[in-house]
Amino acid sequence: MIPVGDSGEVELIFHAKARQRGILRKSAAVTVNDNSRDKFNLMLNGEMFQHDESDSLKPLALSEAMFSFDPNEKDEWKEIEVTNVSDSDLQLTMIADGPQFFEVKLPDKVKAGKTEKIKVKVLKDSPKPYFDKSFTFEMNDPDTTRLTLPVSLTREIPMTKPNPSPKAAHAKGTKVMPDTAKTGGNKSEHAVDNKGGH
Amino acid sequence: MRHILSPRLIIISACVGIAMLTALAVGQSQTKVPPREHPEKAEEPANLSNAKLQLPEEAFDFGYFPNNSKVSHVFQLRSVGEDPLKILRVKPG
Repeated sequence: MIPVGDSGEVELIFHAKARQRGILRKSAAVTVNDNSRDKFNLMLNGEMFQHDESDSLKPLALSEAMFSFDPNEKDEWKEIEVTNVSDSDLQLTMIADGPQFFEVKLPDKVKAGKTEKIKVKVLKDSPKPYFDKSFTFEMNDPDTTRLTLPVSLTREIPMTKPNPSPKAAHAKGTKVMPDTAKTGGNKSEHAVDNKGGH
Repeated sequence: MRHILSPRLIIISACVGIAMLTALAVGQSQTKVPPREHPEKAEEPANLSNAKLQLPEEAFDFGYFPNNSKVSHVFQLRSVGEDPLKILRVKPG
């Protein structure tokens, strides 16, 4: 329930599977108690690229395609190098991010042929112990190209067997992806089925 | 014939008949499936609400994003009516 004068949120999450590529067009039908407009659709659009081909993107090539953190890496900056492979300087503008969950340092400009860094850190007081979010920025090239980079905070699976050393309990590589559909309060999260994607 | 039509037998037969009809009626009422209510209408009498939605954004373009990952976007829903706004259902398509 959203009190009068307040705002609520619906978060749509899209899981792009490995080897999936091409155009994304997905929607979610939302029903509310507004008599004049009780049903409407929220739309997600985009285009997937091959995860391991991020260094061949244009006009901005990436050293990595996503930011992934484990719980021990909160409040630590991670970097992705971005190289302007076009003939013109590029200005980068943030379109959407996750201010409660992570902080992004986006270079204002990447000169033609030059490399800059995008930095991300997960906030220490992130409202959730694990999440899958993303941020989107836009460039001022003729196509006003947009890029969305995922930011995930994964959780570790509790070890079922006793460990010989305390360090082993925090071993990396024991991560699982979190649940993706939850509701509650003024905010609801919904996973958008990726079946039928191109 | 006299034995079959005795008043005692008639009364017993009538009692058995009433009992069978009663059992049948009770059975029907217990197995009767209530009409399935529409989940949206069950949650909220929408026609009585003065809630009003303001939706600043209905579509979002991710641009390019990597496969084998999860991306998300948060849509804002503003409640600008006289009653609180309720999100009754979100059905991913």
